[in-house]
Amino acid sequence: MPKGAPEDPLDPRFILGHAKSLITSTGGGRPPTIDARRAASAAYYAAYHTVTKAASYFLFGESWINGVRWFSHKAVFDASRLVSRLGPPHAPDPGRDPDRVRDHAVWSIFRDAGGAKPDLLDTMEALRSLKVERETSDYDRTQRVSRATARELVDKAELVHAFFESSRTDDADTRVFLALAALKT
Amino acid sequence: MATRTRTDGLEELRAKILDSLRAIGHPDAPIYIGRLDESPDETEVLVEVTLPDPGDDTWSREMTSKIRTAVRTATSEVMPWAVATTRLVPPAVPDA
Repeated sequence: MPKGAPEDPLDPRFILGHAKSLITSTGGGRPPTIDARRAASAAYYAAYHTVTKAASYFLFGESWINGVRWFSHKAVFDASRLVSRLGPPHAPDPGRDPDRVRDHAVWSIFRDAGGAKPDLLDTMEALRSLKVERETSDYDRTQRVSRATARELVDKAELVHAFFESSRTDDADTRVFLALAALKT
Repeated sequence: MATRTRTDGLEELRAKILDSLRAIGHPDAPIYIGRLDESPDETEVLVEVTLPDPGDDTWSREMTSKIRTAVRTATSEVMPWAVATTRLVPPAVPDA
């Protein structure tokens, strides 16, 4: 992953700091769930930008910042679903039917990589939880977004960020995810 | 193209998740299970688990990790073609 001082205005660390400030806010007269909703949304974006930065760096190295816009939310989450479904060491072989060729290929690649490790599986699920909650937070006026939920999501976003800033991005299972995110784009 | 018949396993999944949550000491509480997305080969299942309201704090990372792992494991056993996404919520009260 890129090292050194951040030059990225959407650096996930800044977004995480913003999310944390919202869940410690006293509200300033706003309805209390507004800050929880905005924190949940910011937590999701911190995680998304973390992933696209890692995937772009995987592809383009030091030119990563010019590659991030090639990724899409859908690609990242389609890739995360593939990892969760076909990556676990106990995942059943999807078979060799003609309509399962791609699934079988991903399953085989994960077998060769020793399977997706538990921390990668946790990270994939955290990404999807954050996405679900962002959509609720930003669009759904009928469901409650609590401060407790927002705090848990910020915690999850921090875990996602720590994972992709760690040396785990060099491991075979994580590189499969990054490659799938690129291929799905 | 090959065709396959797949039974709907949501009720079986609900029972399995409830068993799994009890096994890790989670008190009986409402859970909601629904589909988020589905393609012919893949289902994304949303599992909403209600937890006691922690007030201005949040839930312990150990507990939430256990719950998410239990949901994921139960889903892989009952619906191996599906992917589970967990939403953790306090008991419902009106939005402020």
